[in-house]
Amino acid sequence: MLTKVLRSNLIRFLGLLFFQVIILNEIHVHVPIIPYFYVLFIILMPFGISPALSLILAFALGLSVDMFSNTGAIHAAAAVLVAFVRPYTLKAMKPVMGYEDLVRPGMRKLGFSWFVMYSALLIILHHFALYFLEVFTFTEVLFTLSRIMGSSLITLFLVLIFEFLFQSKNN
Amino acid sequence: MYKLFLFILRFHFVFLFLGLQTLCFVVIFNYNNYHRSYFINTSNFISGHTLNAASRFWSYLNLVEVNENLSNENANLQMQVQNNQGYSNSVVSNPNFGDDSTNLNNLIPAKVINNSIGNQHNYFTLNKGSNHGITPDMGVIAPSGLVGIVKQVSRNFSTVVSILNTRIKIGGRIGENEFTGTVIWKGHDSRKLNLETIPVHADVRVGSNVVTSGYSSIFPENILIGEITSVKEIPGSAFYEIELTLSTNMQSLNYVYVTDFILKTEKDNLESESYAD
Repeated sequence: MLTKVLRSNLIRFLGLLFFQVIILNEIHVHVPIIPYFYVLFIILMPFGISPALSLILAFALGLSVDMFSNTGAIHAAAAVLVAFVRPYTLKAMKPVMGYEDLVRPGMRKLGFSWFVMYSALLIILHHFALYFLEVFTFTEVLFTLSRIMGSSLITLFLVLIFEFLFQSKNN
Repeated sequence: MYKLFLFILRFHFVFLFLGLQTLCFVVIFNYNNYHRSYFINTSNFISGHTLNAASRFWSYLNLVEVNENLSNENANLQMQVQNNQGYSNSVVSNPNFGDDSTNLNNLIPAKVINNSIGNQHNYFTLNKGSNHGITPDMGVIAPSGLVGIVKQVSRNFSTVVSILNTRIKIGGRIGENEFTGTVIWKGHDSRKLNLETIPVHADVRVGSNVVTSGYSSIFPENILIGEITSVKEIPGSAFYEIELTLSTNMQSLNYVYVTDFILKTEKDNLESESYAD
């Protein structure tokens, strides 16, 4: 059981990293918007993961993305922030039965609207931190906010597609 | 001491979070300093080789466009060669005679293996590095015009600050009337640049070309940047608001040349000497 969780998370880590830097970063449109789908790794981390480990993994993933996109460490900072907020979000959104026999957050047992709320919250937080760290200014706030909304929506869409395609029985 | 240890252990999650964030911010604040060689960039060994492999796959998808660009460039060069043959007999009729600064450049061809246009501070990566003679601060041009300035160099790869980077400023000149200004990107559209500090008494027309001024030692002069598409007069301002369309399509950047300005050191030395006086 444990090795299976470990394996699926390792595959997700590497798969999302390469999907981000090789495919999503290379799709060029004229407006400066990129969906940061790799945040899915943090969204789907198992319930049982130690909080400290989740921070370290988020940091490693973020810094790897930074390494491929010349962005300093803004992805690392945003990813660590999301991993930090996640346990509190899960606690606040705990359903009546709790998360007892679940391995990771998912749509099947917890419901579509729960999953949309939960992932939208983390995605918007991540993209908000990321885009403001990138521009590092509050001039043109509306432009930055519209970039955040645009790319958050695309990321959420991708996350939902992923969850529809790969939902497993025990989630 | 023991209590302190217990305290840290109890709140280790928060402390770890704060520690990692501090680390990130140290990197973020120092990243913008030029030539600080961090490993967190695309010219390092791992990213360079991964992106190089991935670009081999991507390059199959736009072979048609690459071929078209290369044959256009070939045709242009053929035309230049034919035009120059007339001049070669009589030196006097060459309008560029005496002004040979533009010819003193080596061009190092390179392939773009990774390109971003979706950020505010965009960079791209080349598959050539210090082994091939590239050093920081060299200019990078595509067949159709200027595209960036080399920032970091490893042995086999180099990271280039794209012209689509809100921190970059390039000296531009309006081809027809010799007025010079600063070319910047405002971060909204990857096809549009702005030319600033052109005074309102200048005669600026839509459709004229903007080229490099040659005042810096990074680019030789007369490299095409773009074409003026809109000119606005702002009430109360002494300067026009000029928008240009980039001559190069940054979405599909494939093959570029790194310009090695041979007289660079001489020019830099001369200028620093005269500034010192």
